[in-house]
Amino acid sequence: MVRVKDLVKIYRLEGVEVPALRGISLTVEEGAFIAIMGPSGCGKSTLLNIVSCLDRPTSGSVEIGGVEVSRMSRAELAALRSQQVGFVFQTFHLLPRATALANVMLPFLYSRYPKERRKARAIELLKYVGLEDRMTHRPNQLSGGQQQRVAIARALANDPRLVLADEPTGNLDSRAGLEIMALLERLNHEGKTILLVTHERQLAEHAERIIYLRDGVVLREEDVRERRAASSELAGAAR
Amino acid sequence: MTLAEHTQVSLEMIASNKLRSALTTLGVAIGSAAIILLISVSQGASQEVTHLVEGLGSNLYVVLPGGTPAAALRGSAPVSQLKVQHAEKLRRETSFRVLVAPVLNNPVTLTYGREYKAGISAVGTVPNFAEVRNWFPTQGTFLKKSDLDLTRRVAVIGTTVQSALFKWGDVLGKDLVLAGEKFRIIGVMQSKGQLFEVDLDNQVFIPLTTAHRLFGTDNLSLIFVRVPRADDITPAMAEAQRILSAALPADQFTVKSQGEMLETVLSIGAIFTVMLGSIAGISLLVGGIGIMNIMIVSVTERTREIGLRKAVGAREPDLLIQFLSEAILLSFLGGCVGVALAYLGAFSIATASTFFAASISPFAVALALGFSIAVGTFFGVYPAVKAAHLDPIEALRHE
Repeated sequence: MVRVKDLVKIYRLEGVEVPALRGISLTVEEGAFIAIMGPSGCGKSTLLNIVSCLDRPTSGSVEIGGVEVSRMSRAELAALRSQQVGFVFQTFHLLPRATALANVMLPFLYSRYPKERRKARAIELLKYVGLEDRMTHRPNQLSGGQQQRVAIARALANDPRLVLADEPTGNLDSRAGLEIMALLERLNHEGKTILLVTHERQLAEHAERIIYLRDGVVLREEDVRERRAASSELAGAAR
Repeated sequence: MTLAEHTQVSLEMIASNKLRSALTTLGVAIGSAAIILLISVSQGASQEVTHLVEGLGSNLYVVLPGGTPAAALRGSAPVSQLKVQHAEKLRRETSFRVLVAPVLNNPVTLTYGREYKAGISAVGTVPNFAEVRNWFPTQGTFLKKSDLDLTRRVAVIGTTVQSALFKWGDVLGKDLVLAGEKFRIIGVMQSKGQLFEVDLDNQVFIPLTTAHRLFGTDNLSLIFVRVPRADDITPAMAEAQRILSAALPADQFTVKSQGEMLETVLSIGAIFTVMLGSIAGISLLVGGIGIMNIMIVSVTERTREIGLRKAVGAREPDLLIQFLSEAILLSFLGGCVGVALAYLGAFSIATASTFFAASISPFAVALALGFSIAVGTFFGVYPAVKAAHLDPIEALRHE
């Protein structure tokens, strides 16, 4: 799904070159659940920005779904984001004045999704994340966990193959965080490729593989031997 | 994104900040209203001239003493060399079958019992006047030849004078005091309304001979001359010029047609046009800058939203069009408010002034709305480009 080779990203700040990524190579197979960990400043965000087609590398190649994207134009990248990538942010990034339903429908504005099916699709997605009774609520009428579930429904609008989650539970309590993780696990189970960026080891253990970054290079990769399952943890807590 | 979707998003944005949107559109609203009123003024004025020339008859010309026609029309001519003998000479020597009405204007105060009214124009003239101006009394009679021959103190009053001095009852035969002397009312003139802010009904007509004695002069303010047919007006005026040149220096009189005189007076209206034009221009400029300012604020406020829209697939043209259409819509709404203001303004002013056409032409409305759209487009481009070019990563991180 994602193939990164010799990725280098250098920022130029006031004439000084600051390398953020110094030759990263990694592969994420279709349907994988990968966690990326590392201290702040290690290049996690930069890597995520490039993989999510928001930014372009200084050098190296990035393949998403078999397509080389590192030399694409901004308009081509936008089209790719619309079709291939779903975003889940730490701070949700919902439109404050729009209802949950309108927020989920936002990506349709920039895609060719058939007009007459948009609303039905958004309702279906809100049901999927368990918010069918919150469709006309605005973000400030929803709890943090509910807001993040709206954001996940939005990420799924155009049925992308890749879901990028950047600290998705960072602003949530542990219970709501577990619910979000359970939702991501379920998505992964249904075939989505998940890339989770976190600095918490506990959360990373929900993934099948953890990639550690430090100072812009891959420190090590590690398969998770005892994977945690949020769904059963939730069930256990309920008992 | 379709145009309908863009419009809907823009409308939602405008509606979400109603007060700010309303204040922002105010400048454009005033500018658009000024444009519409401006066109109404010029159209109203030209209609007024056409109407008056038709009403007075296009077979009328006037002889004015030297000096400006506008001043003469107001009855405040400079020292006039124009005398009754010149009117007589003109009547005798012209080859056209003319009617001549010499006139002396003088401001007076009228008193009846305890009622009095100042600033009335006393018009000393001859019986011909009624026919020359095609203006007749609705009650009583106009001045007669015998009134002039005997220097009688009789007066024919306008309706404004009538309503100011008499609350009720018959006015014919009543005595009023004019410049300290008693005058008997013999007629009331038909109402003519206003001509360029001058109330034609605020006049009192007295015999020319009486006026000359009363005001201690033998001058004239102007001479009205009526020729039989409109086609005769140009040759008749040329002839009058020739005849009077024999008796008066060339800078002591002017021969003008009714139409020419109205056009001269109309130049006063040009001041209004320039003034309204300036208001329109400045309001639209300031309104446009206001829209640009608010749009820049809006782009800054919505930086995160812009970042998110880009993240979910919005391309630069999408955001450009979204913000541009928002600016245009804001400006257009201002234009619509301006149209409403103009209707309100024109309606209320039209009742008080003849300068304004009571009706607003669709052309004026279309032009004002066109200008508002142009202003929104021009001043919306910069903020829209700014929004479209935001870096999505920076924008998402924006606090």
